[in-house]
Amino acid sequence: MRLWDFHGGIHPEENKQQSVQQALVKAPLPKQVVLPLQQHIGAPAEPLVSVGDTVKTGQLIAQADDFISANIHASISGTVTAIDERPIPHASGMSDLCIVIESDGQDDWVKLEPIADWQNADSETLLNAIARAGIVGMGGAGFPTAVKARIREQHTIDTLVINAAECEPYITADDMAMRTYPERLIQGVQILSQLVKPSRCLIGIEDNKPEAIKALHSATKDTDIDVVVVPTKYPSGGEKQLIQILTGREVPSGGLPADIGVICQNVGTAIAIAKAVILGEPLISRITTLTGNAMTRRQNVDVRLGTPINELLDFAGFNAALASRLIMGGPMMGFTLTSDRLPVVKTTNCLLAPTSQEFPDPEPESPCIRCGMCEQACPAELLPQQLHWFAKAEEFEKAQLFNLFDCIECGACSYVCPSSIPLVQYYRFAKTEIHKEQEEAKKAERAKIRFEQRQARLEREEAEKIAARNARMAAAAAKSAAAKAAAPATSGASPVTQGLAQGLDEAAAKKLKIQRAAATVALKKAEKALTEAALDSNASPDNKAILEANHKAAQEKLAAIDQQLNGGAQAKTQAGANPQPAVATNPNGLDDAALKKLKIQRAAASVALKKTEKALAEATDENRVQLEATFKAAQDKVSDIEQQLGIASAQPASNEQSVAAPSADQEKILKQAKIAAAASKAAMKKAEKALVHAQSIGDTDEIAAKEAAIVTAKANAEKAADKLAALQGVTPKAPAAASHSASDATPETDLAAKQEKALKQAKIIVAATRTALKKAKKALAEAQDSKDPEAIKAQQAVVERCKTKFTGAEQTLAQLTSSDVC
Amino acid sequence: MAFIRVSSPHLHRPLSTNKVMQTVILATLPGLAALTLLFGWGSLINVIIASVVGLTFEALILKIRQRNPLPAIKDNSALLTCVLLGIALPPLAPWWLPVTGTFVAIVIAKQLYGGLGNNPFNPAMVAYALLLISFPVEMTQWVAPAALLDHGLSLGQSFSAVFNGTLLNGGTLFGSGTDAFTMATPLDGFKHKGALMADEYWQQNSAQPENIWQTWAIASTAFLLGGLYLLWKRIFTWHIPVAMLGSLLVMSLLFYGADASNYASPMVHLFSGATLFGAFFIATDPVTAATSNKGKLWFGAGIGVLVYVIRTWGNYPDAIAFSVLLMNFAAPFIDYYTQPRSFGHSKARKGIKNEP
Amino acid sequence: MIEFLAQHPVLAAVTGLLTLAALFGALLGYASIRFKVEGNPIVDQIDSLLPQTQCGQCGHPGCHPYAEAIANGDDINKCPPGGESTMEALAELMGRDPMPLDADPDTIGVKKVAYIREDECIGCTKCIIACPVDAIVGATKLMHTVIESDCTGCDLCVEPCPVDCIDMLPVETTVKNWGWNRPQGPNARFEHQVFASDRPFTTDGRAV
Repeated sequence: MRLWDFHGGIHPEENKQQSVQQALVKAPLPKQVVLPLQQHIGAPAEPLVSVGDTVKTGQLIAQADDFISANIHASISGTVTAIDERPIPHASGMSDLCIVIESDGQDDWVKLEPIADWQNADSETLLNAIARAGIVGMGGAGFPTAVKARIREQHTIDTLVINAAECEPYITADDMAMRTYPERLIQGVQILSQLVKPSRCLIGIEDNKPEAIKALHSATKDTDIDVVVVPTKYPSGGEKQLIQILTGREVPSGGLPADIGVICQNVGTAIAIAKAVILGEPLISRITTLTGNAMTRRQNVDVRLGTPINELLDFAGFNAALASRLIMGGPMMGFTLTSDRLPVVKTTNCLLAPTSQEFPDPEPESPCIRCGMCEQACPAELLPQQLHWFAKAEEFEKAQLFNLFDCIECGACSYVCPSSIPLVQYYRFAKTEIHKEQEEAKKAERAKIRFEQRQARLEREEAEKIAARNARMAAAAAKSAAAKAAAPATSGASPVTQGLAQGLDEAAAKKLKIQRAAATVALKKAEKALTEAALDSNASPDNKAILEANHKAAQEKLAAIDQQLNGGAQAKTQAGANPQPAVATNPNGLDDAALKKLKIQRAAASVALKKTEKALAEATDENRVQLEATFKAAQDKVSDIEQQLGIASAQPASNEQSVAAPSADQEKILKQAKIAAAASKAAMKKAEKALVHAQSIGDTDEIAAKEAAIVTAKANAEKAADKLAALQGVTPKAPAAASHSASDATPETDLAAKQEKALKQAKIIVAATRTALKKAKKALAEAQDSKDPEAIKAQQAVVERCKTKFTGAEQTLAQLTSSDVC
Repeated sequence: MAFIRVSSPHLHRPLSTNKVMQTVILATLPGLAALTLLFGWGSLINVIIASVVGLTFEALILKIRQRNPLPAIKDNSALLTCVLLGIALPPLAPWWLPVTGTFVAIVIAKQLYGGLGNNPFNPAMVAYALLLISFPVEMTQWVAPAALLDHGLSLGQSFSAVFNGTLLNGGTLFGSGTDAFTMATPLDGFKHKGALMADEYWQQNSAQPENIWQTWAIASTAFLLGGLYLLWKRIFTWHIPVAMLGSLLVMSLLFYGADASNYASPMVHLFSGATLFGAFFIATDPVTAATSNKGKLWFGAGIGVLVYVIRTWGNYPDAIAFSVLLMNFAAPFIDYYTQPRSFGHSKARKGIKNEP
Repeated sequence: MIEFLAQHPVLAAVTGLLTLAALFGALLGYASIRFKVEGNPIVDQIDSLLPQTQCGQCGHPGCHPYAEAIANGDDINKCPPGGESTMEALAELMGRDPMPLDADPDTIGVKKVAYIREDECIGCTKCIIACPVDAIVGATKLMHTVIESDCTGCDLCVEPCPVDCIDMLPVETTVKNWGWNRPQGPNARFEHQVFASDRPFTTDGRAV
């Protein structure tokens, strides 16, 4: 039969003799097994058992969760003791979800369901049996076999290749399996050919396994299976390479063997298939080579999956002192294990424990001399050293252009590299990074779509809102027009017309309210523009002035509307109060509303206070003074509002007996004052914000300008507050005169509130100074670390200052508390 | 128990960079021996001076670059450069010629570009070309074959000639009066034969018998042997030498066949001058050559053609240095356009841009 | 005609040049119509390079607006989530010089996702409103949670949270996304002693 050759390849020392001297034996049953839920390519299996369940050997404990996934079975009988994250055999040394079973020592099997008449069974039955048994590719990759066997549903397959090349040095698991179970293997191959119905069936085996070749020849005597002996060369056992050797066809880049009419299965997989179909036995054990000079009993064992590796190593007479590393798989493509407390999994074909003479520690990487030996060795006909340059420079696009993803990571290039460059690691790194980039690109695309959809939705909602608002306004206008039309006809003071007039008023009020909302929005907009301008240090002063003017205009408009609204409400109350005394409860209701509003204001102010507090705590020493001013202002505001609240809450009580009009009048003035106060405060706040920004930029001129602005703003605020206070000083008197019972209560509550406020304030100051102290200390420590004597001195001074402040604040607090107690 | 984590593969062929370089140096020995036998001690002295000075330069500049000089010295790459330069220089060249040459090769052409593996041009040839342009007289005076001299120079005389520029008996090596020691190389002579026909030239020059190139051919054959040893050892592939010699052969055959009286024969081209030395030891320097097999063919062929062109129509008698340097320029370009067809691809990709 | 031109060489030259000019003009005009390339508008090309976190760290409300700003001459270094690679890709696309990223160097390149400490969440929906990619689910007065796969790590949800229950956690490495790191290279041992480098040095002499 004609054989083809593939480019490159290497001839490392085989070292297979060590582990074939002894016959295949069964490893002792483990006391505990750890079965990772993912021992294959694809989705992890889904556990079917829970902690505490008793299971029998061969029982399904985790089910395939996807099309590409595999079942997992209990490999011993016993109790499930844990389902949690355990270290798994993986190059990363990380953990993954595992099912842990404690053995009962019985090895009590479930009832197996063999397919007795497998020669005549249909494909679906066979495929189900394979899928049920949880068989995956045993050569190393671990692709679920049932999925691969199903390939005929989409492709026409003419050649079935059984990969018996086992080209990796040291590994003899397939060799021993073929020597021990040649008939089983042939049965497996026959089942596979029943499934894929190829026109020919080839077993490719390297010529370094004479005994296995003999065994296969005698086992295939009466079959149409060809045993093809191929010359020994690494990596002839690579799927693509073996297919090329046997058929001369190249698996297209990025494609599958099925694309060229070939399906390839490993020897171990074929045996597992035969066991699953003919005996009904699921995949719960595998043949593993234990080799390397750090072991005294180098041999192949039939080991239950999940067996801890350290138990196996003990069985093989492992001497940890001699071992230079521990490898799962072969020396060319296997990965190192960082610990021996790991389970055997479905793809563990070899455990290699070499001594440091066998596998010395890797030489330090030296510069690439572009000798091109890697290129001569590469079985994928790539330019390994170019790929290495690209990976090194992180030019991943170019690496992809040079077909990085056709690299099978066989390690031939690294093997021949005279500069001992870890080429494969470079490629793995590049592949990982490219995958990451692709993932990110996908994510970015999804984020973009989601963002755009969200924007569209928000716009739609906004449009709907505006439409609804317009409709409402139109309706209100129509209503008022109707009311106007009705008004002249009912000028008489009958109770009916009274109601109508009230309706008219209501409509007007509504209109005003709408206007007010619009004005608020305008104000907010102006404010926002102003803040933005303040933050944008490039904006021209003219621009700012215009913005400020806009802002002021908006504020004024709002105030005017508010006035109107209040006036309207007042008129309404008066109108309501005059004809019917019963309506006198109305002002009370109004006051309630005002109270609520005040409360909300207080909450807002508290939030502002808290914020400044936080800012204060975070502030550096330089802008602390300034922030403290802000803090105080905010505190003042809170106290203002609290005072108002106190008054307002006192008012209703007094109002109960008094006439509604004066109170409403007063309230109006108060409100105006409040608005003015709020506006000036807002201006101050803005100025402060701008100041902070200016400070962060470090422009001294601007800082000075901003500080001046703050001073004026503060003056305004204080004026407004004074006015407010004066007004408030007036207000309590009226009710006091009106009602004795109410006024009696007022001063007391007022005093208590004041005290409480002072206490709170003191506490806050203490907290703030404490944080400042802490900060200063930290800065000091840093300064000490940097060993700059001047900085240390300066920081020490700061700490001292903070300490004094802190003690002062604490004293005040103590005084206040003691007086409070008294 | 914890074990180390390293990426696969865990096996490595015991052939490191220093072994590769060492093998190449060993392979130059037959050629060096032949040169010494044929032309006296000059080449050997060149090699020794260049090596000592070159290694010193390498160590010094690595120290300045704050790198450990030991691994770099041990990898034998600097030594190889110096040996090649020493062989390329004319025997009995004054001592400052190899010293300047190694400075240029090691410091400028190699280390300033980032050291081993990063130099775009063959360091030995950069040095050679620079010396040739700067000191054309010294660089083109080639000692006459020992067989043609009445008495060869002893080792002591050679050292004296190199370091003092004088012979022990007071005469000077170069310049008027002592022409007996130096003469033009066959290529040089043939180039300046003027209007003479080839056979007339050989007849008229008693000092340049027609078979003088056979002396050179012996040295060349010795280098050929060294090169074959390297091929056998698989230090490099056959592509570059074969392509270079092949293209040179084809070019000279064409012109010789068309006009035998004005063009040198292929044998003269292949076996005189530095042709074989260059084909196996200079052009095959992997750092500065093209990398893919196809690229190496183009690279070698380019050198062959350039050598012929410069020898025949250029101003310099020999052209290995210039040809190799010119093709060094082209190597990255060649690499981009000669990517091999990778496994599983229907055709090779050309250039660096993505195909639309 | 030809004789006339032969007698007046200047005129001949002018006529010849004019004819050539007309000829090539026509050719170029034809080519520009016949072989017109429908290129991507530059804004879309820029947008496709941006990471689409919509985080607004560039000062623009989303990635597309920033793409527009770049097209209009804004700096290309304002995208910390994209990191160096995005900046370099932008530099290449726009034909500008690469510039250092306008961000805290410690935070560049660290991919993060938002995580809500669910027992502290009060269900205020403020984060849901802030999220530019709708990656937070939940309802008023009910606990919210982040859809990890859709979270871009823009941290816009952290600020609005009134109880400060949102953490930005670095994306964890698991068996699934683990990969080999880049080998250190031949000069790893000397890299921190390089005497000429455009990279800044830390105090212990190691280039960062």
